Amino acid sequence: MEETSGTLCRFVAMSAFGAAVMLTVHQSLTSPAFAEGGYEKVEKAIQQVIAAPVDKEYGEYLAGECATCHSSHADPDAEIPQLVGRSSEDLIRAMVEYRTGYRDNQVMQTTMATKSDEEIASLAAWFASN
Amino acid sequence: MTLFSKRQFMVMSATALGTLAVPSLSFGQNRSAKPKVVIIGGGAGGASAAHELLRAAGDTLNITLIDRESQYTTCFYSNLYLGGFRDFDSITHNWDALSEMGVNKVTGSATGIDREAKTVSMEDGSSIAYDRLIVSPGIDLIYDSVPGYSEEAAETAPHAWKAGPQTQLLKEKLDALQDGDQIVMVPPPNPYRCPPGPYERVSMMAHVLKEKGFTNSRIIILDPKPSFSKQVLFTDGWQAEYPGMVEWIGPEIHGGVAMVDVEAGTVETDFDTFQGALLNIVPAQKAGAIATEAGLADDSGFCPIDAESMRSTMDENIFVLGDATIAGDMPKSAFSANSQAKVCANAVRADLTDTRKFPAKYSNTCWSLIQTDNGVKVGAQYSPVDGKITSTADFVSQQDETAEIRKATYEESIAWYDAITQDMFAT
Repeated sequence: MEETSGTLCRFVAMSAFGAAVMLTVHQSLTSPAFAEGGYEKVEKAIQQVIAAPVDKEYGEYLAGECATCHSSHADPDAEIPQLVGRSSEDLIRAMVEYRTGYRDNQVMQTTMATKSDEEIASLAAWFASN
Repeated sequence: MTLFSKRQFMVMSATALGTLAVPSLSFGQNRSAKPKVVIIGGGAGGASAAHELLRAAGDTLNITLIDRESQYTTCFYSNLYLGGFRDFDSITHNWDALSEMGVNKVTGSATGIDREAKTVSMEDGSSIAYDRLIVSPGIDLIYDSVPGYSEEAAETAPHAWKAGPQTQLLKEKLDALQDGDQIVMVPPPNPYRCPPGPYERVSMMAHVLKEKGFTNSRIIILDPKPSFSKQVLFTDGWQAEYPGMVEWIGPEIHGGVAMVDVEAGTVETDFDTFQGALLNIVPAQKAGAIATEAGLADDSGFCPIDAESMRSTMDENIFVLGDATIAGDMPKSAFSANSQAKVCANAVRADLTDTRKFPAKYSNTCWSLIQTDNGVKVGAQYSPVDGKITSTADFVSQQDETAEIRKATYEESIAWYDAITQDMFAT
């Protein structure tokens, strides 16, 4: 399910409450904001994105970037998962976890580093409705 | 040529018949009344643009894609074919799905652009009119940038920097080597298609030699550049995976390539003359000829573009994509071309159909395979800053990564290859 790099990380990413474990495993990759505030800060950021305004047309445009790597009919075992049809909240959670450094993948962390709350919300809304 | 003429005739007949048979419906529904977007080049830039325009605005635009071939072999992943990780069929694609979905694929050579008349002239004498033209011709090789090298010499010492017969020729020659044979590679100077490509290729050639137990064979790289993409990752990887086999020699040591003799199998530099049973010479590069001849390139040999849209700075009705462009901090890669195509498609659609133009955002990742399950990557996000496409966030694989991470990186590249080719060819 998760686009991550190692077994330890995969385990953590599957657990919504794995913040403490994450800190010890991926200390060097976690952002300062996450290291200071633990998962509470991530959760707060997620809720902020959920409340952000949505521009679905903009989301559709931004989704072009995702399609370069995320196939719309990916093999279930593929290293990069398919996005279409997932719930908006799940997608927002994943994207914010990458942005904060909670989830480990260099490509996704970098991709999300440049995305605003509104952009993430718009992307999630577009994928969830297609 | 015959195929193309027939197909074009059929398209023209169908349009004419439709207009004659139902004149009352032709206004607004006539295919020819829609704004015309013509795309030259069906690679990562052109095919992606065609698909994106079709997806976002297929009902409102008439989209024509011109490519001289009826099949397309991706240059990306062609190194994995050399290494025996992929077969040739798996890196060969076509535009049939795009055609079926409504793109008018014209198989023939575009020979010129009349910017005044807004037409593309074809080798068979026909011409194709456009409202907006997207030029994505890839690179042309400057053969004589390496003294002694030529298009003819490439039949003996392949460059294999355009995927297809050259790639197959290099593979044949690689597979025919004997233990003790030496490979000499001359990578290109900047800027060129696929910055980590030469070094991934060396890795794949070393993989083949190692698999055969050729402990006496060597690969010499005579680089015109003092440094290269993911350098420390490659040199660490070569040392760990192929100890003693790969030797990289920079220009401060060899002083420059003075002469290549493909028949004798020698590369002469100021420092020494190197002998190779296989020479892989990759010369300097410039934008594809059609872009240059249409006046879309500057003195650098590549095409300047507006960072907000990929629109040519030379002509407001023309956009240029991919390896042919001067795209600021973006490398020349299929990923970059695909990313640029999304921005371009949005701008073209906004030009022609009164839809919204969104801010330009670009991205790139280049994965490279060093050895089985040992993949590395480099990538970035880009935005226009002061008129230039500028990196705003980036990453590169770490030197001390676990084998597990390296394997996941390789597997990620496989998933990416599947996704980008689906995104290009609508499969």
